[in-house]
Amino acid sequence: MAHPFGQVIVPIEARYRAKGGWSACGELGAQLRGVVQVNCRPLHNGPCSDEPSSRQSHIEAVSTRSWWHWSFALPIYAYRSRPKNGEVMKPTSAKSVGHLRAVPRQEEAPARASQSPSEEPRTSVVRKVDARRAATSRRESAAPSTGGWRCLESAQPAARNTSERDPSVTIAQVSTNGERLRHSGPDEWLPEAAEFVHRAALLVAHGLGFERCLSVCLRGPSSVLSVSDAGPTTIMSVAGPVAQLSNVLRKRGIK
Amino acid sequence: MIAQRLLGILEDVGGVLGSFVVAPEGALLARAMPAEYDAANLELTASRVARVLQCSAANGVPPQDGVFDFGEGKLWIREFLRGYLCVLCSANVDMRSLRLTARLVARSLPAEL
Repeated sequence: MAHPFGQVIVPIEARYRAKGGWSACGELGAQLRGVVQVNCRPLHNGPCSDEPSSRQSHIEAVSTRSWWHWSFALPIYAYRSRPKNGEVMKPTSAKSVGHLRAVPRQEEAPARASQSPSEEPRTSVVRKVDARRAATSRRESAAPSTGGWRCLESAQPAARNTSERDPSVTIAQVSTNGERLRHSGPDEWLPEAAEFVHRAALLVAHGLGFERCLSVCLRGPSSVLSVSDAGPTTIMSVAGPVAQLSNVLRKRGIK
Repeated sequence: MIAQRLLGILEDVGGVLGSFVVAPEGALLARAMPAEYDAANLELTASRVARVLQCSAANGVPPQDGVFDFGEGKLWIREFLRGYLCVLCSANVDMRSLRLTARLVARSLPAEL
């Protein structure tokens, strides 16, 4: 395993995926100083066997640090036996069971380091795709790759911000003394109704021997009203169509 | 008498403490609650429950199902022909079993209580 350019021992969490080979992520040491996500697959076409030679794999390293854009094809030597049939592999660290020793190609590094940092996208996790590897990965996954940088997180839904909120859902936040703190949506009645429901529900709780009422959730044929405590002096209420508030119903155990 | 027996079925679901039936206008129609809940107190509670449900209905959400979450317990509500079936249960009740059983009980409750 000696290598003229040294080696980097990567503390790594690895798992074996039935179709996709090894999938691992970890943090590289001081020489590379980057958090990487790696995917590797055997060099040969068949399934991994337990012979050491067959565990030599190619590694694709993806940096979440925008300046680190040169270590993408690293030989990798995984010292971990493949799972037996039906065995579920747990994440392990290099310190405990397995090692991934990544040996950087020194001759490629200067060339890649000389690339302009502006070529690299500065958002999300990206991967530099070369033509040969892209052809292989196209066979393995349906994800389109036409070369250049592509975002690895494109399949994940973007977080919805407040401006994209469903207009049919009304949200109101009121204080326990009836002050309207926040209101958005078409139902103007909600803050007043929420305060009333909260007060009445507290009395119901006391009548049944409880100290407080955390939430009230009511479902109609097509709409939902939910009023809940959002702090010692704040009430949060939501009203809207059943379809849009199904997660609320599920959380309350109604659906 | 039949209503009492039907409400007793609900107690077969683990975590159910008791149940009662409220008319839409707030009258307590039937009850199968533990002894510590006296009738006067329960009538008052039933009318308050009805007022919450009326408030919701008046604003365009006529409730078919509902949950009051008290932290250590819950009051689960289901609408039926004559009013609302209310089930008092502990926090760890199996909501799925409760929903299924309560649906059967609500359907079986007689028109005259």
